Amino acid sequence: MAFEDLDLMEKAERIRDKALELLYAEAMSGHGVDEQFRRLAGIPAKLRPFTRLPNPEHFNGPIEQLEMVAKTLSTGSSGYMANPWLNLSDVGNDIASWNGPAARAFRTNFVAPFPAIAHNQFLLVCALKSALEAEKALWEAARKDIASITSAAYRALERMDASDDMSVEYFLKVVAAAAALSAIPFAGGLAVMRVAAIGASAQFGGVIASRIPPKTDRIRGANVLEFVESLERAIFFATDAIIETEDRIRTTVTELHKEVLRHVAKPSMGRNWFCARRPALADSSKQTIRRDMGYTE
Amino acid sequence: MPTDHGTDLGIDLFELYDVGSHKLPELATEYSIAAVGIATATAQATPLFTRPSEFGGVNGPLGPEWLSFSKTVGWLLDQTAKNLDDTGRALVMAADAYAEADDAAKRKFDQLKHEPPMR
Repeated sequence: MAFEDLDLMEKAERIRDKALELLYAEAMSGHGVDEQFRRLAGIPAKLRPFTRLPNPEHFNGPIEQLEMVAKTLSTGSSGYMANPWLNLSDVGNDIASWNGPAARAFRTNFVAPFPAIAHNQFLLVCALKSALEAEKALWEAARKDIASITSAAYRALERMDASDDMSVEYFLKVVAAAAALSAIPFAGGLAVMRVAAIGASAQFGGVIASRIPPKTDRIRGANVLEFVESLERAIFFATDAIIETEDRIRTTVTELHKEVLRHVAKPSMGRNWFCARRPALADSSKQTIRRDMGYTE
Repeated sequence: MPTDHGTDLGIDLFELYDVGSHKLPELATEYSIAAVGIATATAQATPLFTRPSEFGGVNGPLGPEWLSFSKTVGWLLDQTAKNLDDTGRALVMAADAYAEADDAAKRKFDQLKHEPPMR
């Protein structure tokens, strides 16, 4: 079977066996091989964690679920049609002439800012969705990266006994996977209630503004030991790139979450950027409701 | 107070009742659906962050943060739904309370309540 058609652990074993062949050849020429045997035997174990990466396809379920929530909360911006049920303007008209303190507060603090709050809530859902899309892209890229590394390793071994230059390039595309975060419609979209502060601090789009290009390196070595070291280094780089990229996604999510919590917790602002402030009317009793609504006999 | 008594008050009370018993609960339902959607997405996503510990720990750097953020967003939507529902109940209570104090208004109010809905 061709190398590219093997699964990851079969590739790992094929690389190990090919390297062993070469090592035997080196041993026959008198080189010390104990250390090299030990390192070679460890190649499958180094690659085994990559067989248990999260499946990118599994992210489709929650992404689709969040897409449905975004549509439910859409007031008609950012590419989604408006949900016609998400409208309080009729309510404002119907109670326009009720002038008790709670009725006035309800109009001012609840009805009037409602469209902006709904839009901000919509953007938070989009942020959740974009973070999962970035995570999905990360695992798709990670699988391609490890396939690139194993292909480069095997081709390098094939060249080792036939050529002086056995180095073969591989790529690490995972470092660019956070680009999916740019899908978040934060650019200017949060301005409705001066929520632009979030866009400035969390910088969802800004995280990937520099579009980090795929990193490349080469598997190389003048002998089997150097080859093994080069392969181990490539596996380390691939692992590190996954952690680093996911940490960039985490930073973006954490910053936005902190910003939301700051506004929710701040007493002077109440919850009125992301959650309609609880109207006093909601706490009216049979004894107070007539006064609250402005009834004067 | 728009109209202090009689048939006209009954009409005003019916508008209040309509907001409280239909419009706000319908809006609250949209928010409840959204909150359930967030809870479902959170439950679906929870196992997806699991991976071999070599990759930043068994839940990775993002898992706990994303799940915490999604719970906050779900809470915000849930609170909005609750506020809308409670406000609706208060408006129905207000309409009933006014009607009890004015016979003519109550007659008109009851009549409108039992007519087929316009929507």
